[in-house]
Amino acid sequence: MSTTVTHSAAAVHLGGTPLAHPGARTTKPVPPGPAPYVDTAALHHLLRRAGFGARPAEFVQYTSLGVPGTTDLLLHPERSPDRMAEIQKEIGSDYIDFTSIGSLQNWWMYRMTHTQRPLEEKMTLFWHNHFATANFKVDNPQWMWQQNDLFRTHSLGNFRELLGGVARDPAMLMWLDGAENVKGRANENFGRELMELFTLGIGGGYTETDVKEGARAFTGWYYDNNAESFVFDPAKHDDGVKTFLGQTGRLNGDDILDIVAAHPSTGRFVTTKLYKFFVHADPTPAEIDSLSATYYQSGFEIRPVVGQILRSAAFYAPETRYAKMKSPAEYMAISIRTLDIPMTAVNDPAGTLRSFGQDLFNPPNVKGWPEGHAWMNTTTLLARINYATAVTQEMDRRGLVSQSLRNAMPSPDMKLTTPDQMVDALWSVFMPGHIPSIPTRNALIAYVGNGTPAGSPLLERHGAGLSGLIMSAPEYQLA
Amino acid sequence: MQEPVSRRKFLQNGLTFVSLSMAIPTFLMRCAAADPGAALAGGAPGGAPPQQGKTLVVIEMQGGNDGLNTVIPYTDLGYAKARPVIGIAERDLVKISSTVGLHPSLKPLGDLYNQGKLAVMTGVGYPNPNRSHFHSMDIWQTGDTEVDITTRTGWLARYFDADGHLKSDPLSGVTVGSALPLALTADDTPVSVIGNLRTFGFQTTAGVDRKKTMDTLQALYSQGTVASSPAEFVRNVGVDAYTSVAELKTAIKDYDVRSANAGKYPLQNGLANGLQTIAKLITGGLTTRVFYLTIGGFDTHANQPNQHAQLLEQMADALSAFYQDLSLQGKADDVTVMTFSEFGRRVHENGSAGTDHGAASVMFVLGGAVKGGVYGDYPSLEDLDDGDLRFHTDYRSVYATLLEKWLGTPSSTVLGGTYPTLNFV
Repeated sequence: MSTTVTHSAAAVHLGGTPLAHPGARTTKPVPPGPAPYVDTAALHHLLRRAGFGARPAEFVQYTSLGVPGTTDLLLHPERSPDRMAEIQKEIGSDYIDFTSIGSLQNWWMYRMTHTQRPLEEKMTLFWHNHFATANFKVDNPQWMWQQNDLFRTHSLGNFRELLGGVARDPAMLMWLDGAENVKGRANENFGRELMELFTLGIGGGYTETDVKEGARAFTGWYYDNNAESFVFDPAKHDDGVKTFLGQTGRLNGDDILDIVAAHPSTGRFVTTKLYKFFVHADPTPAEIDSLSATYYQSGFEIRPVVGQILRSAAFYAPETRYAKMKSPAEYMAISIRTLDIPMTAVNDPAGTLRSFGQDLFNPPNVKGWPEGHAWMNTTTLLARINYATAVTQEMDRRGLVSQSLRNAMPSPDMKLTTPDQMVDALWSVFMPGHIPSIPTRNALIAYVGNGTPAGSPLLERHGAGLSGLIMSAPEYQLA
Repeated sequence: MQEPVSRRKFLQNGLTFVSLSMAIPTFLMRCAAADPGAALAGGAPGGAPPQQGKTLVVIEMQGGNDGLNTVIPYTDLGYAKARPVIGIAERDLVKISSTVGLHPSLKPLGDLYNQGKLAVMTGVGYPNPNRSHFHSMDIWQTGDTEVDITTRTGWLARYFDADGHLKSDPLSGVTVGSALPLALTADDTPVSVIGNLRTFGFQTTAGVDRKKTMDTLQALYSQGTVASSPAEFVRNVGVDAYTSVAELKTAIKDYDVRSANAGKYPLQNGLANGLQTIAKLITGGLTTRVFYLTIGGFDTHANQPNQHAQLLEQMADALSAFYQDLSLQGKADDVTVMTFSEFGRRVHENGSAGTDHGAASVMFVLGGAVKGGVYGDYPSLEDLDDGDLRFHTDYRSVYATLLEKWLGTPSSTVLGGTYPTLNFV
């Protein structure tokens, strides 16, 4: 018979996924015991994709857990402390102005670069792009933050519960005109996007009639500014009989959310999007079938789906590594963690991200950022190159480059007396597990070697310039 | 020999990089020909010779512009009935014919209409209209009503592909904004995106180290440095960035020389900013064929009147300033502007003083070479298609007209079918 597996039990015994719902199946056990050897290239890959890279000290800790242990820890953010309040004080930014979207954007960047729960933050970014809501219409940074926190709370939780939160979320109600959706004058904005972009996906088997009927069910849902809370107003609610996706009754908004969460298209749509976010753009039908089955069998839990993705062979396949375009947030956050760059050395993080094409809290539309190759064009690449140059020069000006690079090297006593030793060491810092092509390596060696007097300290002299160049290289744009 | 100055200069300035990279883009080889005109004409084999010096500016009105409150059929009795709250009174209209008038905010466009420079296309759409922003936008941007996620290439990108000599020129199509639109997206042809002219460049240290850094950057982006296909994609974007920066620097210098003649643009108007950038690049001698920019905010589900009026005013002011500037620069006859939106809005207003997603709508085509007028009878407000206007002109007829008669390319290869052309150019 099925049993409910508690979170801790699942993690201790199986290295597997906690399944909160009765009837859920446990995943295959992996061999217990500490791994004698840690594949650091795989660990770096995991931390890039499921997080935002790692500071050198963090990487040492993750290495002690090995890849399976790190995967478990990432999947259970509640096991790591949320020290953000302290960290804010440490980095001198404990004041957040909730009326300023710029302040909020910087705050989120701090969070991505400092959280000890990187997968929680990565998933928050995923949901921000899935339920893409923009402050340019909401015009209320505090609501945007509230929504962001909703995504964080449910980051690896239950999708049906997340939908319930999203449908009641003030920013979403403003974004998709919930307040305008009242009995007799249904506004179909939320009802349509709920199916097209949030659950079933376009072509997922709904009709224009379903859109209209769904909108009726959400009439009377709005956010009361005075009470500062979600309100259901029965007087504005259309209590009539509706037929929605084949089900008929006096359906209300929660009934609609129950139906879409359980709809056969939703598992495929949501797990495909997660797969593409973590692995690559071309999942096989079999992979999606399997992930989709996990979604339904777990009762719409996200954690087991993400766990299955992060433990899959496809995730670690050689062709998967360094093959996914870094999003702007990933590019910046990974660079900051790798070199342990102080936030004060980054000039206007929010504005810089915008120049990379990702204006946090302002996705271009309700479909979100397109991701992938769309991040990369002449302007955004120039912006990345200019950031790489500026931030490494600022580190140099503060005298921090050499020590940061030393700390980030695989071993602290690497010899750095020749240009090729320099290049190999720094390449391993920024591109762990990746071997540069001969022309690339030669170009960088030439940069270090040309005009440098023999015996001069290469790290001090060229550490910043070489770091900036590697961060500008085509390969470094990929995760 | 004034034209095309920028490419000539660029060729001299850019040679070091080109030889280093070993990847001489096709367009550079074309420019190296003794006679730039002859080189240009050597484009698509068997195709019509491309029109020289003709530029298309495409403006995307994002969100679904309410065509019915943009160009108003004031003699149709159905109008006031359908729009008791947000309807525009006849006395406020900028009348351009005995049956239609422009929204009052479009007064500057009315003036251009009176000069015969504005074509107004009514009843534009496509069969089985889709009311999703994104799907309908995909249909407009791909020129394909059957578009699916595996066949998404932009109609303008396909124009570059069809017109072979444009394909490898990163400045054939320039988007002024932060992201590349689908219309200009092909599988392997990244097109330049220019956000801000002031920051579009390499900001490296000065002096000796700058040269060393730039040389190394060029080497890192040379052919053969990367093995994987995504890295190769980035590498190509990098090569494009480098060549674009060099060309733009020259172009803007040329514009600045003449800027005493430049027209005045309205302040606090993002569209005007973008159009001024485009005017600079055109005047500076770039041979860009297509510029693309976007104005958002047209999804007026609620409280439409003020919002819509402001957007239209912004558009009309920006377009009017752009046209004046081009006229002063002697370029008005070489530039045609086309506006589009993913759909019009429902004929009947909703209960929130707004309108929901609809279907057929209007398009504007503006320019010195445009034959002004209202094209097509306004669709009847009594004979609706599921609450929406019926279209009578397929949007691809507008595309086909611009491709054939303005850009000088056979449209059937680009659009995958033959669409009747119109007479607005």
